[in-house]
Amino acid sequence: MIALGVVGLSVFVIPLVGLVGRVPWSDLPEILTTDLVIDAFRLSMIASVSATAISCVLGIPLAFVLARVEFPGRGVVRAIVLLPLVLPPVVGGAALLFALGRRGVVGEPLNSLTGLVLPFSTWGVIVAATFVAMPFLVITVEGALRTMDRRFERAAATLGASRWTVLRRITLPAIVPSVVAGMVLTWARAFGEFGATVTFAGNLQGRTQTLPLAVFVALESDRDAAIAVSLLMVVVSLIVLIALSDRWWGRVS
Amino acid sequence: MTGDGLDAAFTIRLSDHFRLDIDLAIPPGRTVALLGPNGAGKSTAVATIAGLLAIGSGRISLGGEILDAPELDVFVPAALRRVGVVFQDYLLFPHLTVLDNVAFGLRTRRIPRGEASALAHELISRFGLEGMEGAKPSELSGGQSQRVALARALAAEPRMLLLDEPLSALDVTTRARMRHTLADHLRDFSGPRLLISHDPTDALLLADEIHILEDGVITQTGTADDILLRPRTQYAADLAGSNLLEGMAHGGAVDVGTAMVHIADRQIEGPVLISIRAAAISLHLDRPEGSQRNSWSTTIWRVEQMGSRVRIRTGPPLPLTVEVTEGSRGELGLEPGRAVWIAFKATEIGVQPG
Amino acid sequence: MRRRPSSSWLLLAAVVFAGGCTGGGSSAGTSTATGTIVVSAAASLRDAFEGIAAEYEAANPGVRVVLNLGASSALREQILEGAPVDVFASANMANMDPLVDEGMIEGAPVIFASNAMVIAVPNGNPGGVTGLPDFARDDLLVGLCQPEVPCGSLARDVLSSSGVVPLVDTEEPNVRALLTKVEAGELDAAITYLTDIASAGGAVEGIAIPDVQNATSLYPIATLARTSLHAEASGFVAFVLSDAGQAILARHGFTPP
Repeated sequence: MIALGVVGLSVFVIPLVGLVGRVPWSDLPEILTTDLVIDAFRLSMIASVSATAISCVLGIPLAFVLARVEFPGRGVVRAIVLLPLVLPPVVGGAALLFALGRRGVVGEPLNSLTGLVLPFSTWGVIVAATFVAMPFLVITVEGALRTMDRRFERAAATLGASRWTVLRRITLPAIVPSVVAGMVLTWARAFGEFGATVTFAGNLQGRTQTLPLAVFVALESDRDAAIAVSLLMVVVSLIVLIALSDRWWGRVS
Repeated sequence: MTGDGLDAAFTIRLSDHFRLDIDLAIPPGRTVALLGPNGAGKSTAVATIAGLLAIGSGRISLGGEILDAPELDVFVPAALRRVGVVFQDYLLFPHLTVLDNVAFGLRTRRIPRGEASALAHELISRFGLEGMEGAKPSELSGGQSQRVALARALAAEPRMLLLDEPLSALDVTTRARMRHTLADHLRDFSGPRLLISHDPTDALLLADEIHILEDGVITQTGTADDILLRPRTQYAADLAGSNLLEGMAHGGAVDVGTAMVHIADRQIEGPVLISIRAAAISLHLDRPEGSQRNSWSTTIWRVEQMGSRVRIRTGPPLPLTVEVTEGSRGELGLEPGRAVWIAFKATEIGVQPG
Repeated sequence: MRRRPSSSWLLLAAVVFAGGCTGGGSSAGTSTATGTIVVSAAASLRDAFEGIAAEYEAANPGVRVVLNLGASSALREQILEGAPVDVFASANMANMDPLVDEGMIEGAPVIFASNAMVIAVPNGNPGGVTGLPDFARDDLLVGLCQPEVPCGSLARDVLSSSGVVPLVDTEEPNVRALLTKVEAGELDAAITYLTDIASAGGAVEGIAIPDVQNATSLYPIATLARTSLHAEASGFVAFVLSDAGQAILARHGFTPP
């Protein structure tokens, strides 16, 4: 068991070691303080945090509907919600382009009404990140709602709690660990998003070039910069995941 | 009939096979127990009266207010019924302190935090839980949890109390102690009280009136004495530690099919139910001397330890449950297969028309 | 006593050796060789090389050509990292030189085609684009390839030689991605290769760039020294340089070197 576990661990550790082994340590401060990297970092943080926030606002109610409301075709709706998990991100980005682009099904009327253009804008990056990451939040929260002990909600009802009060004081506190777990997964997915972003939002420093795009671009011309930025992404991700790991893993399991 | 009390006469069909038929009325200040084996429909009864489940037909009213009447299209949801429920597993909100748990029913009624807190403190003292206000439910013992659950239900100032197996989660010693505490608190509550249980001791000691529920139907109602002395079903008889037999009475003897049982009443004729308490039957290794009118030779089928008592099931001609002490069992060497004589007096037999 | 190998064994051995032997020099396009060769080619060569590969396979039944298309810079990196490629056709010498320096090229690269730049606009030219100065317009969405790829660096050369400072909205990783967005109408203008207009088959329109401002890309092709299929690889290169190959290239908008 332990031997297999170690092998499993090495699947994750070996690529990291490979990366760390090639880091240009002496040039690191210089590379990481260039405008390119700072811009990309700022965009990645804006996009991932916004995507997580939007996913919470829209995803938690959606999870409630999927978990608690019986309606015909619920299984199909759930499958559609989970589709971005299965689709190659570039396919997702192309779909977003054809739907929300300037000539898109929804994008065209949106553009003529409001002048809003999503592709090639930072909002486009946020939309792409939300599209691929929100399913994580929905599925985590829906799972929690389905498996939670509903008897506490019933007990609250006998004590005079209205449905809103039950939600506020009993249900939501009960699913907080799962919401946090979902948010971490969502943030992580949004932070690492590449395919949908580059296909839908394009690639421009300062406006749409997130850290993954910057790495991709740098791979072609400046290997050291690519490795340095990759290291930056790994460190940021590890910080977030470790900081929240005990909090959410302990409570969920 | 009871303007202030609970009036519940209804049926609810849960599935093709299960239907619950309830008809009971509880005046204020009285405790009624709904007693029955698992699967009898007790939890359904709790859910319907609490307002968590709608009945199929009939009516539930409390204090003159109709809570559920399908034919009139009336259904008052649980949150508006003011039925205080103490749940089997207490269901104390795990993320709230004892104080917040008890104050919950006050806060839902928009009572301001300060006032609710003060009232909750009062109740907590009354239940002997001072010092535990800040504790979380996971830190409480079984007895403490039970008291918090009751305090929480009472804090909401309910019009009636519904206790679902209030003592079954406790160990034997705590249960005995809590039974008395519970009896005191119930007496202090002026509204109707409905106690649901499978444990006859709870019902017998806490309730003024007992309704026996079996398979969704109430099979017997009465006081504790009524049930114990004149059980009408096997379950009731088992509760009383009795044997229950049907037979035809004629001239002081009852033909129960495979044997004739002599009874004291020589007048009664026709179909009867006779009950013989298990403890009133004695076992002997040889034909017993003495005045017992009923005795015969039989073999032991089954021996079951029940605390300090031993329940023995004997075989043909008439299988009976007999209760003896540990000592007797050892002395007489009572094991399955052993040939014994049983004996019991005619005067020990309860007879009621069947 | 040792037995002399029977004649049937000798025949089998001969067949095996003959099959494994690399065939001798061939006239353009035909050889007695078999195997699968991997050809890394710049993305802009997609349509032309698909046609060339098909004809080459038809003329050489035992050979299969696998095309590995992408940005020349990415292809270069792959080869430097050790990818098992047999032939490399790049969109500029800049991406071939590092391989030559590393000694990875057999012989010397040969220029086989050239490609000029053009302005690509969606059908109907919704942005009303007339020339390079429109790339500085604020109200248009314009895109280029990222500067690290040949298409991108050439585009920037063209723009700077015409004195235009563009307001770029996206720098796509390769020409295909850029073209897709122009086709979809999500971009009003882009600078791509002339061959891309042909390959888009009417999905985009082209606006010519004045020769004096235009940049031309010279495409080199070479066999990799590491190839184990010399005959097939060099046969392919020869086919590209042959009249047949050049005709296919011209059909797709390339001009002779």
